[in-house]
This record gives sequence, structure tokens and C-alpha cells, in this order.
Amino acid sequence: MIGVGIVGVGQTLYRRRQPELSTEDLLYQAVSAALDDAAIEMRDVDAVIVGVAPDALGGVNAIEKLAISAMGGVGKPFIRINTGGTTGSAAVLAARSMIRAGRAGTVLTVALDRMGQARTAQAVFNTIFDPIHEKDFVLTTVTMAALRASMMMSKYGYTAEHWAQIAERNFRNAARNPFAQIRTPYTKEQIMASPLLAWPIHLYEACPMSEGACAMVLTSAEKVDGRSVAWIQGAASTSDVYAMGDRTRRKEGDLIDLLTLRKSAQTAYQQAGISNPLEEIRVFELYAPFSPAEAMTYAPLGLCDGPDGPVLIDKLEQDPELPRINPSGGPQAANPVGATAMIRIAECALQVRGVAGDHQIDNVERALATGQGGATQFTTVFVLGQELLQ
Amino acid sequence: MSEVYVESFVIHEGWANAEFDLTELIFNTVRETLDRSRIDLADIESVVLAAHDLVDGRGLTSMVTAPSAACYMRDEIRLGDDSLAAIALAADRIAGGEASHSIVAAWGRYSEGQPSRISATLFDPFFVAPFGIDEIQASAMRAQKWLAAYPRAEQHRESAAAERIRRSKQMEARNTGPTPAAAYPLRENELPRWADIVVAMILTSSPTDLKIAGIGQSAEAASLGERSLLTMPALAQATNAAMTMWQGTPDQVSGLESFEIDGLTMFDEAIAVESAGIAMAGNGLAALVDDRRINQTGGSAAGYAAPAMGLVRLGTLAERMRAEGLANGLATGSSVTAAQTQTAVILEAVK
Repeated sequence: MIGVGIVGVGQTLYRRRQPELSTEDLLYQAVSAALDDAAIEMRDVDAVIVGVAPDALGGVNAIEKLAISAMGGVGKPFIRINTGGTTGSAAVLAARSMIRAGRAGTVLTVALDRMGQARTAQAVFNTIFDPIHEKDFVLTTVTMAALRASMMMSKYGYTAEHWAQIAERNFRNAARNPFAQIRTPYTKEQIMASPLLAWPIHLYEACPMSEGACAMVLTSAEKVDGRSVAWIQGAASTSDVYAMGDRTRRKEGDLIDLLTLRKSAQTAYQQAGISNPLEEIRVFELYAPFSPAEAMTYAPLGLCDGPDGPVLIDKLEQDPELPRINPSGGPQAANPVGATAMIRIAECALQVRGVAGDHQIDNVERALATGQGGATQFTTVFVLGQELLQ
Repeated sequence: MSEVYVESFVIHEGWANAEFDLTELIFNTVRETLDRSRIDLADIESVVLAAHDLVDGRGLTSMVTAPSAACYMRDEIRLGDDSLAAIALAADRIAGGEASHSIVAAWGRYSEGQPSRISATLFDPFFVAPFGIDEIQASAMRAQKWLAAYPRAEQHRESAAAERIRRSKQMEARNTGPTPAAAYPLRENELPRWADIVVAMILTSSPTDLKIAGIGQSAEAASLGERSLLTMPALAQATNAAMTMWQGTPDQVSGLESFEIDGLTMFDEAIAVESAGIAMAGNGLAALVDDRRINQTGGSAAGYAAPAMGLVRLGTLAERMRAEGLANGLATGSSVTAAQTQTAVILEAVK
């Protein structure tokens, strides 16, 4: 199989609203930065794959088509991916497929969200749920996460302090990430004193609404040409059923067991030759818009057994040899939904290439990025590394 | 690289059938596509979908619809693009060794939405939308420009429209909906018939009688003012790329034995025929009448619902090649805005 690596990363600042910048401005910034990082020009790009999540968030239908010129897509294969929260990572998977098939040597992937333009962003998100059968149950993206957090507290003994502890670490990390939207290092006490959104989730345990764009240049092994590269050593995507009720008492794995994440991780680990992720992966960039959602990934990713999650939170804080979680601050520091899963991969690529700046972690030979969307119905896992695996 | 073959294809087309909801239509279509194939559901590794949130009236349509397309515990991805682009991606996954068998499914249920209003939201909300333009009106602008450039082509207009209606009558059992409101100079018999369409195709690395021999894709600028409208350069590039992938050269498109060309209206189809290199500039309408290789089932007159149309064209081509023993053919699929992105796929019969 053709080896595929990431040789360029570009990000805009992530902010609640960026009214001074048009969609084209945001995309152009991210794309230009990625091309510069890869030291190539647009004429070297064979195809553009763009990820944009729900159209209603941007206020324009197919906003990527309107802004195509800002991404250099005219005259090239140009595809739009939309898989909710995994949109950005699914776009990277599509780019990898195109390169592996030999239809392109170098692909530009771009992901965007402009939800700051929509006054009704939360209302848009709420339309992802069934309007008939779930209308009597106040199901939103926040209550959906709160439901699971309470299940984890009941099943595995997590406490409200655990959720705040995760959030505190994310904000501490985000303070070193110049692209992050929230760079205030809130303390555990401040987090627990923030307004309650839906028990047990507080405001500072939830992601912000964000705008911004991320771009990456992917290339085949034969076109890397001495560039600093993060190789895609393993990657997988898995989809689940829609109804959360169908996942609540499923014997293969219930709502908080994240069966699709477990399956994606197993596939990616197998491709990357990983048997002990806790020891073999240095950095994890996790798509966890709420702090309890991060803890929910530990067991499916093989970092611990389900009941050991609360203990792992403390260990991760205390043992510097253990993996570093979300050096960028993760989605709690910025969550432009359509781009978030790509940002996780981009941050891993920066870490593996050793160019993450102030939030660089030492000795990152391997990093893992997750993507989750549609109330965790859709899941992606990427393992990036310094070594090209044959 | 693995070769990619067409295994099976099913189209469900109708209008406002209250007996089935969208997820049931998707399930039934995908199930039948599997039943017509040699492949067991357990062996499907990849599912590639094409669907639009606004067409389906959902914040994130694939949450509810994807499980009906056999996505459970599988690698699934959804394009917000024409379904022929989904075919290209599914073929990439097989050619690149990531999967052996892939389901591609797409749908649009126009009876439940307002296609014209949805298409109006594609245009710049400040500088273009105030004119009230939608995709039909963009096509009308093309038609005006084309008729002005090739006034002698007017003589073929009525016969071309009559011919596509005649051909579409073969598909009447599919029970399409109404035509959209016309915009000058378009006439009713030059318009698409809205429809509820669900299509599915299985691609495989196991040899069948039809191989995907070439794939090409390209895109144009968004602004209509930046585009010629007389031609579809993205389609020309896509077709050239598909021919080059197949035969190493972009030439000889017109030598293919069958064409299924996507276009919203008759004029879009005519201009696409020219841009793909099947007919000379100004001869697109005449080709729609005289060239029996093109759109034998009437094109968009036999039913239209984005983003399913590229796959409808490819499936129709595959069925025709199998029925008539044809050696090769070209299918095209275009996506918003005003055929801005294009995919071309060449099928070749395997002896």
C-alpha cells in the first residue's frame, strides 16, 4: 500500500466569532499556512477535499462551493465531506484513499466551521435528533453528554471532581496554544463554581462555540522529498446505530463503552503494530467536547479497563512517563465542529514532527487523534508516527 | 492497485409515497442491491453515501439515514456532493486496498422539501440571493447565452425536448413528480421532473462483467459571473482525466459506445454533451436528438433529485451496457452550484 504522510499544517485562530474575516479569509489563511509549512504551491496540489459540517451553521448552503477559490480548488477534483463531528477526520481519510488509489500524489484537506454566524447554532444542533420520537425528551448535545456522564459516575465511580480535574488540565494546556480560543487556566475550583448546564456538567467542562479553519497537506511517500513528515501509520472509521436507546443495553458494549471507538482503535493499532497504547503512544488528542467525554474514551482506547478510569485520571497527572492528553487544550479550548477532528490530527502531526511550539511534548514518536460525531455515532482514530510502516 | 468492478445496482424512483419513510426506502434499496449481488452483507467493509442535510430536512441527515444503508459497525463516510463523487471515493478505497467491497448509496426526496428554495440558499446571500436566483434560473441563463451564441441550434430545440420526453416515457412506471417552475427561456418540456430517488450500487474488487476504467473530477469557480456558462470546463477536465486514466490520452471520447450525461435541464445536458467532447460546440441539442448513444432514458426528464443523479446516470449506463452488450460508456455527475463540480466515470465491459 502507498504510504501517506502529513507534511503541512495550517490553522487560523479559533474564536467565538470572527466577523472581521469572511469565510474565504479564514480558508485562505489556513490553506496558505499549510502550503507554506509544506513548502509547496497550489499548483503542486492534485486535489482538494473539504470538510464542512451542517450547512445550517454557516448560513449558506454548500458554503465550501462558494468559497472554492480561497482554497485553490478551481480546476481540481474537489469533494465535500459531511459526517458531523468527524467531518474533519473523514476528509483526511478520503484524502488518504485518493492517494493510495494513485489518483493523486498530493492532496490538500481543509475543514471549516462558521457557527459564530448563526444565532441559532444550538437549535441547529438540536435538529440532529429525531423530531418525532425524541421530542418529548429534552435531548440536546449538552444533555446527551450529561446523560452519559451520570452513567459513568454510577457505573465506574467517577465524581464531579474528576470532570473538573480533566477540564483544569485542558485549560492549563490551552494556555500554551496560540490558536486556542480559551487560554485562561481556570482552576478546578473555578470550574466547579461555573454555572451548571445540565447536571453534572458545568459551563467550563463544556466546549465553547468556535469559528475557524484548519488545513493539511497529505502526500504520498514518493513525494515527501525530505520534508518533515508525520506518517499515517493507522486509521479507521466506524459507524454505530442512531438511537442512543439502542446502545444503552447492548451486550457488545453499552452507551458509554463506545463500541465504535474500540473497534476503530483496534483496527488502527493493528495497522500501526501497537499492542500497548499506554506505553507506545506519547500524545493523545481526543475529540471530547465535554470533560466526561474524555474519560469515556480511556477504556475503548485501551488505556485502562472501564472501572479503572477514575484512577487513571490521577495517574495521568502524576506520572510524566504516561501519555500526555490534549497538549493543545483539546475541544474544550476550541470546538469549530466541522474542523475539530481535523485539528486533532493536525495537532498530532505537529507533535510528531516536533514543531508544536510552546505546547510541544518531548519525544513524540507516535500520537493518536480521535474524532467523534453524531452523538458518538461516528468515530475515527488516527495513529501518526515518525516512521513509515510498510 | 486493485481493479474496481460494478457488482449490482438498484434505483427506487417515485413521488410522495406515504407508505414508506425515507429510512425504509433506503433500507429497501440497499437490501435489494445486496440481494442482486454475489456479496454477503458481512463481507461489505465500506459504505460511501451522498446526501444533503437541507434536502433531507435534517441537521445531520446521516445520523438517522446511514444505519439504513448498512453502515452499522462499518467504515462509513458521507459526501455532501453528487453521488458520482461518492462512487469515485468508493473506487479509491477499493483500488487503494482499503476495502474489497463497498456499498454506495444516495438519495433525495424532493416531495418532502422545497427544492427551489433549498437551491436558492446556495447563492451568495448578499450579492446574488436578492435577485431570487435558484438553480433553474442559473440554467436558464446558460440557455439564453447558448441560444444567443448558436442561433441555428434553435431548429433542434423542439425535437430535442420531444425526444427526451419520449425516451423518459419508458421510465413512467417510476412515477415522477411535477416539473419546477420554468424560467425564461426554458419551457416546461425542457425541465427536469422532480422525483424521490434512492439509488445504491455495490463496487467490488472481484471481477464482474463491468469494470470502472477511468475516473476524473474537477471544479469551477462559484460565481456565475466568473464562468463562461457556454461551456462546462470542469466537465471537460473531468472527462479528459477519466479518459487519460483509461487509455493514457484524453482523446477519443466521442468514440465511446454509450453516454449517460447529467444535467438539470435539457440545455445543461446539451452543454454537458459538448463539454465532454461528445459533440461540437453548438451541436449539443442536435446530438440529444440524433445520437442514440446519449441519455437513452431521457436524462433529467425521467426524474431528478440531487445528489442521487450521478449514480443514477452510472447505474443506467451499467444496465444499458449489460442489456445491449456494449463495450464501454461514460457517465457524468455534477453538483451544485450550477454544475460547479463534475465527476466523469468510464465503464468498460470485461470479456
